[in-house]
Amino acid sequence: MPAYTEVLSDLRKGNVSNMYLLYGTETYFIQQLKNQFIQSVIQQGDEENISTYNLEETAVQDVVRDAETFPFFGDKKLIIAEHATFLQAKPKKLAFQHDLEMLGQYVKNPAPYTVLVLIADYEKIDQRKKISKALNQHSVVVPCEPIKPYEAKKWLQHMAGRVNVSIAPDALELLEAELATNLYLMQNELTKLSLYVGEKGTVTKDIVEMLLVNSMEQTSLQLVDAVIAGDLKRAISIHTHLLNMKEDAIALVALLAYQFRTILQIKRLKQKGYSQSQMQKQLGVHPYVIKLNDQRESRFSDGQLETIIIRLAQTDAMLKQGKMDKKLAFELLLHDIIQMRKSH
Amino acid sequence: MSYQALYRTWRPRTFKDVVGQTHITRTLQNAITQQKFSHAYVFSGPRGTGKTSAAKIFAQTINCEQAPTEEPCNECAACRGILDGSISDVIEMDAASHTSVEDIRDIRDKVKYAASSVPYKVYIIDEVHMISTSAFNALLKTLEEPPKHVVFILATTEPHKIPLTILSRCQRFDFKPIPNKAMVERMQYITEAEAIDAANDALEAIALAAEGGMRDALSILDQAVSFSDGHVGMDEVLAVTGGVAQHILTDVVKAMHDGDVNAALTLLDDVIQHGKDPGRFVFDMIYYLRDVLLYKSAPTLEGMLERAVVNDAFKALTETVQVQWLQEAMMTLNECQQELKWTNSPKVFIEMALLTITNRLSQEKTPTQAVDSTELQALQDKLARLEQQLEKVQQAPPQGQSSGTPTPERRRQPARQNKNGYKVPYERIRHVLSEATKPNLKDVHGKWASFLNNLKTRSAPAHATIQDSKPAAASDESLVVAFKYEIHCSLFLDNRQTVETVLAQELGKQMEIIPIPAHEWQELRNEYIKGQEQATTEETDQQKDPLIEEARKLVGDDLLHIHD
Repeated sequence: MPAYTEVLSDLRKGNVSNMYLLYGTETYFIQQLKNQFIQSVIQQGDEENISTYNLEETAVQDVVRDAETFPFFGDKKLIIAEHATFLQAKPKKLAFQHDLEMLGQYVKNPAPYTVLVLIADYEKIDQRKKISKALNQHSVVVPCEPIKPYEAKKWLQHMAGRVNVSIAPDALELLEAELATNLYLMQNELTKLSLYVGEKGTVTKDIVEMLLVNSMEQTSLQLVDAVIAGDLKRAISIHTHLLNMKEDAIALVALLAYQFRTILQIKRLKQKGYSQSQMQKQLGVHPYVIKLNDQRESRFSDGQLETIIIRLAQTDAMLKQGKMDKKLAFELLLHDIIQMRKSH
Repeated sequence: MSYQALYRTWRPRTFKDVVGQTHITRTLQNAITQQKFSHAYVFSGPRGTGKTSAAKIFAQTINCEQAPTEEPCNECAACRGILDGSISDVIEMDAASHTSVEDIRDIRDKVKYAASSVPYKVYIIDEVHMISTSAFNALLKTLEEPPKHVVFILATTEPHKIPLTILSRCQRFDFKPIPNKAMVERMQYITEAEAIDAANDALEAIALAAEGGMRDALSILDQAVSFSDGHVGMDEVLAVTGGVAQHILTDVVKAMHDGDVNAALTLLDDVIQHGKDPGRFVFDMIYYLRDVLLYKSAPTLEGMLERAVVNDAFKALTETVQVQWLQEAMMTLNECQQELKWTNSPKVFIEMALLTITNRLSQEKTPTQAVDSTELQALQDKLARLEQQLEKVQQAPPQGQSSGTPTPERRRQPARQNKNGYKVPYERIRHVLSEATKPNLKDVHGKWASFLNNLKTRSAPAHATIQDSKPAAASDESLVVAFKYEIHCSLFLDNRQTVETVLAQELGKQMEIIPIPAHEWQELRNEYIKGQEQATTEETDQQKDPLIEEARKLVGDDLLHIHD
């Protein structure tokens, strides 16, 4: 099964087959391939030879019939058929019947002047179906699955290469942490960064910090990181940002409390000689959380953790009773926790 | 022509004018000159940071007749047309009032048609987070595959309300709050151009109050200008913002920290006399202290201070005060702020808060004072009792006076009172002594124990005052009781009624109790005896018998030897 990049470069070179099936949930890949199909198959000014169908609204036999029709002025035509739900194990009930037999026939013997692209935008296709087997055999099947976290760096570099900039190592790490596996975001941000630094420029950490858009989930976790790292300035600037985003202080207190409670739990279990996997079973949290907090645990003493949790509870009560300005209360909390860390 | 607000006349016309957002303007300019701009942008950020302005400038620049160019020329027909809104290809839509799917569908239908008079159609959708979910979905389709001649710019203060599917299809720019320095520079530029005479520190105060929003800053400046008579100084700005000058805050904190209550209260009085809102003063104080606290913990935080401009006085202050003190001061002020909501006399509460803060520190400074304070308390109590006594005495003149008190008694009275608080009615006691008989005393002695028991059940406090005393002399209707300490005498007087009733029950007759401190009693007795002895030597035999009788009364038969 060819990977997305190979198909893409094949398309760029002009090696276009007549029959494609794209499946998976990463819309970025699908979108990119779609654009490339249009570029490779259709000549400028020939846009009327592109037709897009929605297979939840149109029966597949109509699509096949269209595929068998000669292109209108021009050598080739491109047919994109989206939402091919009939490849799922349990297809959606539709108001009409897809004639899969007819599609099967066509797949074995596609029209030479037509490029037919089926798009199945869901995780898995049912490989036991007759039509799936036929497609596997006679067409190019491109899996478009979301990338794995460990691949993120590779993708960032790949995309940076495409926009002709290089990324400093610390900037790369920051980007990886911020953007995770969202390829759309990666592309947008890298385009933006490349425009800022210009052709062949180098993206440094400062530039990334200045230009990067803070996404919400990331930053509330960053807040925890900053607090645990004892970086008051960062903690407060993240908090100010979160407030601007209308994030509620009570939720942030709860988040911090959850973190410190987990750290305390892990610390206690570790003292009893639990292994990481045992802790995971005992606490029922994600293994990564255990791993991460296992490293953090040694930075705090039992007493400190308890004091911090009590302080969090007090702040929570204060916020809920409206006894203090939310912003002020939270800043004082951050200050106290971080001072406590320093005095350790 | 009617007057236009400063922020409208000075709305940025070029990318250069959009201050504090160089990272964004540079990127946009590069994109325009390289003809690589995206078809959809999201501009997010707090109010007054230049989102809409940047969007308009962007629309002008890509459509300018000089394009591709870095800045709009603001002179060609296209630029002018966009500025005055006569070109219908640049559509500024207020999403706050066009929230429905229909509004977005309208865009979607018209998007297909090419621009009529300029190269690009630009849709600027302001406050885009206000449109409904279904409207977003309608927009999504257009954003996914937009025609080449269309650019969407979505401006919003709340980007998290925009669905991720939309965000991921747009290039996003976060407008940061404008740094104070950039704002001050921009205001300097404007004041120069408008020939406004404004002090630098005044502009800094405006920048602080504006919290990163240029529009806010210019509004405040505008007000300050109309308030002032030609010169915009610190006072004018503070009058408009209602804030308190930083040096006053510094002085108050300093005074509190030095334990100088007087100075702190005078400053507070000044502030309120100048018509500042007391609540605002407390608010400013709290945030000023917050700034001190944060700056103390991390001096790199300079850009995050809310009230304070870092100057020498501020730095000096951060060095002298302790973290603990700051935190406690903030808590006290915070409580004060809460209480202010429920009171009509805020000044009193603020004064109390200032006093609490000041006193707490001076107590900490001298830990030994804690011990002293209990003594002080005791002394105060004593004083209070004395005052009580004095009052009583003044209300009811001494009983002895009625029975023809001699003048020396009167003179002695005030002196005694000052020293003891209990005035011993010497004359009356002497009178009792002259009539006292041994059997009377014996009788009282015999019943004293059971009397004490009864008294205990009747009234414990009364019992407590009298239990350490003993009857010294008794006549038929009066009983002199010697108390160990003078304080008990006065305490006894409070319970006199109860004690006398109980005693009357015990003895079967009403007796008036006259308390006397034990040492006074000793003195008095000796004096009395001496007096009697003198009288014996001087007077005739006839008078001897009463003397012996008296002596017998006093000391009893056992100790009495009569030598003729």
